[in-house]
Amino acid sequence: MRLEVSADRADVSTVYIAGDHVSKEFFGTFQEAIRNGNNTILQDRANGNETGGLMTRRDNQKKLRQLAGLAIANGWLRSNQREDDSAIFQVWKGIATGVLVPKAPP
Amino acid sequence: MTTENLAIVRQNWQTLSSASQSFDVRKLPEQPLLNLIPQGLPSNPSYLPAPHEVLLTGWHNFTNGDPLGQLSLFDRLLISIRIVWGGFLLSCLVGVPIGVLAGIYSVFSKLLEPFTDFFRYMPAPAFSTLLVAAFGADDAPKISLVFIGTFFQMVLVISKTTRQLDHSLLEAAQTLGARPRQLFSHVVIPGILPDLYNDLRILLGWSWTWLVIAELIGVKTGLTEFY
Repeated sequence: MRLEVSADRADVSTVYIAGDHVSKEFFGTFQEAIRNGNNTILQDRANGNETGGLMTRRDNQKKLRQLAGLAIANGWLRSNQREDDSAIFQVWKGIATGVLVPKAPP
Repeated sequence: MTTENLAIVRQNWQTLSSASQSFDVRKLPEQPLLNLIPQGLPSNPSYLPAPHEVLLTGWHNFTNGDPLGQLSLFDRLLISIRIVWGGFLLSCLVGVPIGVLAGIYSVFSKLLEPFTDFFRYMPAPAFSTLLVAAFGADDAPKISLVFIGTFFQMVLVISKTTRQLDHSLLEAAQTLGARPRQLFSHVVIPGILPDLYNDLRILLGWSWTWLVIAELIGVKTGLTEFY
């Protein structure tokens, strides 16, 4: 599988970015690990145990950029805007509010 | 985009928009956002594709950019050629006159060649950090690295080529009354041109060997960045 969207896993040090190839077998494991990470965040949020601070803000900035590759593929960003956080932020807004409609996966 | 990721985008946007409607790194939420679930396109067989697929993909990569915003192989080749020729021509501009002078006049040879001989053993990549600090992260340090890798060899090779000019040609010209300037422009330069051309051809190949290292410093560009 060729990754269009990737995310960092807290439990392993290997980092995959958009454009990397991973095996089909690993892809499912990778997705499941991210889902588990998200569930932990949601549980902490529900229990009021969220940890915050400067590091979390930096992590959030990285999470915003997860959408950059997809935004470039859809033509909403130029290739040199991969780290243009303001433009990426607007893409998040556009998709969330329905102004931008991403292509469905094949 | 998958519906799962669409839901995550909407959920994250609620958190983001509650803090600010426009991007401000100081106003990013302090509570962790959800990660997008990895999304990918099938690209098998990834390890041993059929020969025709290799050719078709090769042609596609050569002529078209990547959907993720990468340049085509042709555009990368142009960038690499610009870096190699930039460094090589700069090296020629300085190295050829110095090499010829050192080949003709022993005073230049004694003055320059010991230092050049010393510096040519210094690995060019060792200068990479210094070059990025001095010239920034774009093309300038790459061109400079090709220059450093080629220049010192060029001076020594060309001075040796100049020294190997047939002395009988110089003696014949002197017998006919040629002055030093005429010896230089009518005998030395035309006499060494065939060998000079050959030297430059070999040194251009030398410049290409520095390309991979040059393109890795600062911002990765050209053929080296291709994956």
